[in-house]
Amino acid sequence: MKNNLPVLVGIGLPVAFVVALFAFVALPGMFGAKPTVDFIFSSGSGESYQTSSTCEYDVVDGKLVREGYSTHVGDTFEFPTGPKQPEPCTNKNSPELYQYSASTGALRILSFEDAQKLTLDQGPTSSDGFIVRASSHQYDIFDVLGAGENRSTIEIVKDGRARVTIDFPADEYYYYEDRFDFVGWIVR
Amino acid sequence: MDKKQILHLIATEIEQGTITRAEVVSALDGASVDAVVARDSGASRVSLVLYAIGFVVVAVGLGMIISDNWHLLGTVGRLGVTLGIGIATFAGGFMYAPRGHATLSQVLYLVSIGLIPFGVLVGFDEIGYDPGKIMLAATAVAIACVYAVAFTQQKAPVPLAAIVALASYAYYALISFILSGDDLYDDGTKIAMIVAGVAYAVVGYTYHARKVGIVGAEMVRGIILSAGVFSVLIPLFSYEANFVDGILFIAALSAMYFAVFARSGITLVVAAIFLVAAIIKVVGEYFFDTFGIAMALVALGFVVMGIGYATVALYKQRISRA
Repeated sequence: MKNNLPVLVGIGLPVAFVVALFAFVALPGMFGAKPTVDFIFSSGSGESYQTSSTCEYDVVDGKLVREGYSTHVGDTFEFPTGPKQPEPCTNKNSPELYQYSASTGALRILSFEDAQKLTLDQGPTSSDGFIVRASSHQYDIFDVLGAGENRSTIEIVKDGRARVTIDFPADEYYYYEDRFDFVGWIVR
Repeated sequence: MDKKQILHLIATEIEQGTITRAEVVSALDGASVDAVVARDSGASRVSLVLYAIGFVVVAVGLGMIISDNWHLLGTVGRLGVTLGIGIATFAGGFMYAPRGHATLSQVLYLVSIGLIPFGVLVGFDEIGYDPGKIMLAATAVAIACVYAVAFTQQKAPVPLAAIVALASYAYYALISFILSGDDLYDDGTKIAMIVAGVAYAVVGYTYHARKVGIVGAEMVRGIILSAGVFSVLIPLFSYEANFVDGILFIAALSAMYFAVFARSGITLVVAAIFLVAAIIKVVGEYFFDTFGIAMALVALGFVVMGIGYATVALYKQRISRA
């Protein structure tokens, strides 16, 4: 028994901790409630460096609207300065809209016109108690030989646990969490 | 064979130089012949230094050759120079240890530790397989089991270090997998570190390095024990709550006591550094405003000197004499 102490504690203690963590954290996440409400979000700023104009989405009285403005381009190319000016919005200078289907788990690109037909709730908590957040995954010691590079995901969270994780749709923006903008839950 | 004959035989063997007096005495104390050879033989120390220099030169040279020609090697070549050499060095270490070449065996094991896991990853990469955290953990455990076979047979320090390192990797891979995307990630990881630290301390404490007597055994034991102290105390430093500062202070003091109890000089130094850091943190947070920075620094200086003196005294009285 005495000889087995290092085996019992050295291996048993960490194994017991992992098992407990799995039981109390991972299992509720796997078998707990799943989201039932679809939502839409935008990805990418829609910003064009040539015109330095951009559009943002908002929900007014349950309906999607978009507001555009342009900024005066100053001496520096990357940091436009000056007062914002109203700018007409087009699909070209607006961020891409995506709809997440809770039933299928699929993402699809949504046109602004189609999205305007929906009734939206800005939340941030859905009627079934979920929130949506962006999360970026940094390269770490578990990403070996180039696997699992930096990428961003979207997490649908309840009680502090991500119940569903979706890969960020726009690969080129993989490390820009702020490119993700939650627009609203779809009210049926 | 009666008592006289046995004693005569031993005396004859000593005269002939087959064995030394120290080896006989040591054998009665339960230490292995390797221990005495390693401890008493100047030739062994020289050979150890030469092994170490040779190891570094070979490793650097091989690394440069392989990295320069990596793109020229095919799949078989890449696996050969990583996994192949790793398995060969492991087998060499396993076979040389019982033949009285304990030090060489440790060097071979050391080479294999770097190459076998890397070789397996190269294998995954060659077949285009992206291992997730679960698969990485399973792979690390599988390789650790191979070293466990060597350790149970020989009680050698380098396989033990390999087991601890690989098991730790698997442990943190699983923790990361489970807590990924969870608000408990930070706190859970800190608790996981403390749990791992306790495990390191127990494994290190129960590893009878002196009895094993292989060169490097004491050092590996000290590193594992120090990893235990490090792993328990680091998470405590990151908490801001007042009561955790109290726990940190007690834990750092306990770590010093534990180092003396475990008779490990390396661990004593690590624990002393943590104790100084804990005192600096506590003084900085609570006494800079009360007593002023100048007074607090004077007091802190004396405390640091006191800990330094106590560490040296403890080492001389309780560890080096043991």
